[in-house]
Amino acid sequence: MLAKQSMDSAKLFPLQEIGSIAKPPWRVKGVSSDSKISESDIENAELWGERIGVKDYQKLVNLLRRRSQSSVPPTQEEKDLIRDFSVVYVLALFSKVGLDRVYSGEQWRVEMYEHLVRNIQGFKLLGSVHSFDYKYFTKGAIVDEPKFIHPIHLEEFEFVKSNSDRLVKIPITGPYTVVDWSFNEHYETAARKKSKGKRLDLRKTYFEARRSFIMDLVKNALRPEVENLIKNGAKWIQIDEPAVTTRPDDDEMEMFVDAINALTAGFKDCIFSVHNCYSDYKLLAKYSVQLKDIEQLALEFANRDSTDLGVEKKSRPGYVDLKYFEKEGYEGGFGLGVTHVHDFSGTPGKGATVEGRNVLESPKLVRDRILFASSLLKNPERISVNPDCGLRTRDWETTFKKLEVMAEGTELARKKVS
Amino acid sequence: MTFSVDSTLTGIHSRSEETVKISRDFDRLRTDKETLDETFEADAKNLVKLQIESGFSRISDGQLLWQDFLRPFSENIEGLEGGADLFRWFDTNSFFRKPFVRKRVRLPKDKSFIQDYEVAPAINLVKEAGSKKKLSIPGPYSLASLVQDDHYGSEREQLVDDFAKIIRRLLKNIAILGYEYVQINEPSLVYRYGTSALTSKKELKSFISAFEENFDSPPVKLSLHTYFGDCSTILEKLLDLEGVSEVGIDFTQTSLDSIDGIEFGEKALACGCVDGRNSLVETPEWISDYCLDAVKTLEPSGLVILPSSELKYLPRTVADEKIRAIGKATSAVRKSLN
Repeated sequence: MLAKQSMDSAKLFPLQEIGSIAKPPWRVKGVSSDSKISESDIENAELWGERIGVKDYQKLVNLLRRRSQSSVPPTQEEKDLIRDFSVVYVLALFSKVGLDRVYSGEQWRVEMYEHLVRNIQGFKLLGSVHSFDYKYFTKGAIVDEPKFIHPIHLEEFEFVKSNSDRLVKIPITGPYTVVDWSFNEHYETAARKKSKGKRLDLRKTYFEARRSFIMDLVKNALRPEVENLIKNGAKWIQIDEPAVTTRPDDDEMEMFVDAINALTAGFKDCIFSVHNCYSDYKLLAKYSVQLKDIEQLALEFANRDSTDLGVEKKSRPGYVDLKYFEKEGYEGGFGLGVTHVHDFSGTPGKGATVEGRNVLESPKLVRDRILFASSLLKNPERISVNPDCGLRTRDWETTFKKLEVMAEGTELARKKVS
Repeated sequence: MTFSVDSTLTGIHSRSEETVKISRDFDRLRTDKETLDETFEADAKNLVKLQIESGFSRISDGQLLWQDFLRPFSENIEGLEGGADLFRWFDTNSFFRKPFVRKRVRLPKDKSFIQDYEVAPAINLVKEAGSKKKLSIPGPYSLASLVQDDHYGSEREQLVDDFAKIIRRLLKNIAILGYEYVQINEPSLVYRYGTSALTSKKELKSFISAFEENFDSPPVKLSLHTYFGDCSTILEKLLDLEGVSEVGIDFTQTSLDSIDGIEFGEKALACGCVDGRNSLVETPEWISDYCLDAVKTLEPSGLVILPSSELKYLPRTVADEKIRAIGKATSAVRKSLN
């Protein structure tokens, strides 16, 4: 299992990205019909193009300059070029800091949920739902049997592959999360119909309907997508499952395991990993051993850790949860989250500083986190290093610093272990 | 004697797409506060009108200005400090800012804050239509379960009791504002994943005693609503509470079979059979059939038809469809029972 993971990198502690990166302002405005590119957007494209060594970035700058002076909406060709450049920028950023496994920063996607369900037959986007304060998300319903209609990630994958010399790791939104974040109209209606005439136990029909939904989603839509990606050369697929453990029933966790196993069964020459964050790892650990084809769990840990330096248990409370996986007998790899990706409140310890709403870990803090995890897992080869989650809520300056610190800290850890 | 059949909302309603757009713009500094206020006003007015047109007997402004169900409390209760960190609201995909308890909690003297979170022009429409105002607030047990306690420690019963005292005083203010109905929402009583009175006799006792001591003769008609969990094991205890006119059940979590045989007696049933978390809109016929079965089984003194939980988990158009369906079902049940 581990041999397969380290195929791509001879280095100890390979570095990997984990998800989305903020869309640059020129990317957001450049594809919009009612936003105007400003001088500062152009400067942003120039500055980063130069800084991270984007080839031909002047081509983008020239386009943005033309767009800033134009009163007509962008053409599809212009939009595509801007969108493609945003992926090239992300790949250059990852390359600059030395990541071994990369993807597009999800620049082509609206959002992890919406991108997927918009491209699967049977879903209907219903509207906005309140998340918190003035933040909302778009939620859809399954209104018919889900069905694969066309490749969803293939074009994106091929673009990334042709623009990077690193191992490409494709993130796809997992079946449990899609089901948990969707309303279940189709299967709930069917389950209720089955009970016609009898008094309904709504909780029971809810579970029945949910299980039918997830297994059909895997069989009819996600598995064909995965099969198609592998057929076209995908070597690593990361299944994003942030919703797992939200409902800690055994029924729910078994449903998650069954869906993942059904999704990944029988594929050769492709590594599958699962990303989960802000979750109950004791519960996840219990079921991790049942995930038959999952070779890595990429998890958030920095968020739950202290920012003090040290490799003792008291300094590293966030990583102690690894012991649950050891106790349950999980032998796979970990994508170890070593940098916090959200707003930080409070006073940092000696291993970090705070700039505005960001906590900036020091390389030594990253080193200590990796070393402590290595000591718990006994075999350091099980560890890959990544941010806790996608860095899309951080600006590019912070993202760059965090990735650089991650690379420097990992190098320190390598030296210490070797 | 006529069997009363009412209908109402359970708590915070979802915001319209226009409010979503404008509030997003406001958040990103693209629009001003005046535009935001006007948008919320139009939104709440439409919602009040919809409830009136649908025949709802207890009407709210949808509590659209409540950013989360604890926020008015965390911003106004002495001893609570507004939290910065977001926590998942039970097993939904919405979040709340968890407040810290820094010292003993109390309602500052003469501090009435509910009106600061009302959309006043919408509330005025309720009055003009001769309808009755209704408000949902978190109960003492849920408040104590959802805050981050840095003060009370092992004296959790005291925290529950102190929140109950705050609510008792708040109910007087709420009555002065013209509300006739207050629904105390207690999801934490039955939610099975976190601290729950379902799993601890001690916790349940502390809730019962705080409730009995503080709400035996409230100045408004009081409803106690449980949701996000199965209430079957504690329902009888809730039905014994003095001062409560109605007990609410989330029938997406509690099966009617499991409480068959429990009689409501003098209490009314708040029948949460309309799923607040699924976009599948129940037909009026389905709702009325379910309610009639529940009435026959539990023999309550009256019936209130309402969503199992807040409707904020649904897009607005769907939530509004559920209001219309509840309205039609209410009328059908009334005809059937009287």
